[in-house]
Amino acid sequence: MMIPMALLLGGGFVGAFIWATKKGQFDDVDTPASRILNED
Amino acid sequence: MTNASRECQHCGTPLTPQQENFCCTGCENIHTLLKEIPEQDRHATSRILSASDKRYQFLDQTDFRSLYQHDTEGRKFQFYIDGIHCASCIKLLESLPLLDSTVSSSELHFGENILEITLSPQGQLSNIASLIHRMGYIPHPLAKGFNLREELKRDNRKDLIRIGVAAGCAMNIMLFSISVYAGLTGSMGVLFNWLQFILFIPILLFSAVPFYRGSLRALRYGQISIDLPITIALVASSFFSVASILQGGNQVYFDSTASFVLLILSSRYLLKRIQQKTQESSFFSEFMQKPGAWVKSATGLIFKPITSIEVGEILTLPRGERIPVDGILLSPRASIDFSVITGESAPRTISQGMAILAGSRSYTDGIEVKAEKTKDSTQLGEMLRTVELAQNRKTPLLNKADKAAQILILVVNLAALVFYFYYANINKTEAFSRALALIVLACPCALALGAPLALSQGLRRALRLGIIVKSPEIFEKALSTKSVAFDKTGTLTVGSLNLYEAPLMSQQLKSVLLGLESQSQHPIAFSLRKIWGSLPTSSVENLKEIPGVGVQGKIDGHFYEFQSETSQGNNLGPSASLYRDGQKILSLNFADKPREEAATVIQDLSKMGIQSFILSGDREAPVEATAKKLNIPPEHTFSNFSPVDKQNWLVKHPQTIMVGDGANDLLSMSDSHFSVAVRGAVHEALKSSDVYISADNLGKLKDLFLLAKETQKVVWVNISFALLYNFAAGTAALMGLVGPLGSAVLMPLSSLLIISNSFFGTRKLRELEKASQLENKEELCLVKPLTTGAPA
Repeated sequence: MMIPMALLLGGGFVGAFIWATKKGQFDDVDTPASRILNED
Repeated sequence: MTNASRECQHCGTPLTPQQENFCCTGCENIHTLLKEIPEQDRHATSRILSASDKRYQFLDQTDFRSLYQHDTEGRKFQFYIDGIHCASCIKLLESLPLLDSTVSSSELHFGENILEITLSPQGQLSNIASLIHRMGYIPHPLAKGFNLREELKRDNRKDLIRIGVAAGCAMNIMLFSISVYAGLTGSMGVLFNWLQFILFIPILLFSAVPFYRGSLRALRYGQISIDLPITIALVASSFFSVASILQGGNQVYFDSTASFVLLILSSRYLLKRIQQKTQESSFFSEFMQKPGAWVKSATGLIFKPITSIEVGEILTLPRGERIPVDGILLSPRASIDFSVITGESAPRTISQGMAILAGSRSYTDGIEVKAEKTKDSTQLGEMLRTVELAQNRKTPLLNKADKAAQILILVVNLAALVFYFYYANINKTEAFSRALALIVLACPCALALGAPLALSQGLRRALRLGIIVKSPEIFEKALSTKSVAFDKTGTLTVGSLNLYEAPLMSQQLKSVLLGLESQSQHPIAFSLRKIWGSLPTSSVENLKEIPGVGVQGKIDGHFYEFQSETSQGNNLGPSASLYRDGQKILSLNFADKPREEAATVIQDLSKMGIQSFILSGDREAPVEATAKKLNIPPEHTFSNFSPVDKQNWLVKHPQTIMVGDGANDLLSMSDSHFSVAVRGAVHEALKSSDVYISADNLGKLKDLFLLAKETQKVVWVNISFALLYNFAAGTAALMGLVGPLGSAVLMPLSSLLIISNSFFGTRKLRELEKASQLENKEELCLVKPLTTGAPA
């Protein structure tokens, strides 16, 4: 019982990561960091 | 005035006592622009902007628009932006929708200098380009076919997914393997082993694919790459593990193999990103589509992209723009800034029939030039091509490390094979297990990774310090540097003219001068506008600029002339005199002063045993004056040096690095030990020089040498560790002291050691970085405030 649950959870995270990458979440990791310096 | 009540006029942030009206230059620039463009005009900035700037109008031609649009509706466009310095630029460029309502979104990719904008259907691209131009940047539209960035992006995403999958599976494998190690046996133990195998399949079939490809590719060319032993170890250990499970054994190596794949994939990805980062801006500019030039044709002026200009065509060039061809001047006279080619600060006046070289800039508006050579065959083009070729060389040290790794792979595999057959007579299982342990353990990763990883970390450290180093080879070269040759103007000096020993003047006279120089692009005009920026400007009738002579015009009934004195310049720079109705009333001296940090740097260098020289194209007096101030002996000072002189000098003085103005001194830079650019547009500077110091601070030169020295230390620590490890571990494996399991644990550990050694570097490196972080906080805003007034 615990085993499939653990596998599912793990698989879910890997899936989420793949989805985020495909969406371009990690394409540019530098601009947002500088953007925060400008508070409006 | 109390400090509490003072707020930034644009965003309302409370101001520190040092700040006048705005919290940062970003705010100041936006505020100035907003004030210039009245609210009701923001939907059609065209009326204000296009009238003054026709440069970008070609962008609205349907042909161009369809060439540059990045989607099917023709609303998405990309610009490569020249002149991005710091975080304020992001704010400024991303506030485009605020300034012009036809822009619906605007996003800047900081590292790559690329701005993505979406226009509303009625928006005109030329307006946006002009607007960006007015902000003080130079926008270069990027064509649609320009898919390089997209390809890189796709590649990087794929790599990331491989790493993600490997990480997910490796972690879960470990969960199950822990139970088995803890002593889980029986049917549950077998089940857990099989589960590990199932989780290992995605790694074997998906994440590890680059290794298979790499080994196949190398094998096809008859070479052994580092991927081969990794592949062998992967396949052998999974085969061995499955066999072990089938026999009911517990010799399962999925966990260590999985984490080993994860580690190698991650370190490779890191390496790749760093390389991309350092190369991106120069790489991109190569493919950049610069706007073209106006060419005379039978039907009038037509706009042609630079690449399609042909020999014999006549170009009409606006003031301030770079000339795209080598050619001859057809206009009677022109004032040309040849600084790219000669490195000279003041513009030269040339007359009809004289040669003009590509890359120079005209201070005279509307000159006509007949093209004699175009594109790559221009002097500039040829130089750039040579530099490009030089970029692809591998460093000698990396070559050695690669070769050593290759030999090691071969030796290890042979040794394992020989050992297996020799030992198989004694104990078949033991022979296999020891041979496998050897292959897994003596993975040459440490050897092959050690040097490039340390070097690329060095590149990255340099980047953080504000130094862009084009190739890791520079670190090796820096260590053997004996002397440094400096260019004077803009390198040892500030590079802009300042008033020197100014006489007392009434404000009215200052306003007269400002009025006369209001339209001029001459360096003197820039310096006056800078010094007296806050004073009113007199209105001038019949304002005229005579190239190479000066400006004249009528103010309040008097006829004024402001002319440069060619005969009797002071010994630091040019002089100019003001005449009222033909009578001389005032003389002004201008000088270029040495950079504040220059003297310290030269002192520091001499402490390191590096001599300093000055090679300048400038006249004797200003060069000697500068040398004296910086304590450079006269025998190390050379004036009136043409680019060819510099080149010859450098050929005669090996192990000398050239520090110059980026775009200038192109010729000499290619012949020096290596070259450093201290100013100029990054991508242009990087084409011609090996190192670019972006902080406009000569002090970084010392950091570069320090960095090179320390990085080399890290490299040697890595390599000696790798050799030692491979020797010790190989022996241990053959003696049966370490089994395949142990080696699978040890191997990634050794890589990890090398990776962390590269990352943490030496104590001196960390100190260097800390010091520069403090500095950076002060230098956050590098953008210069806008000069108001229409662009040329």
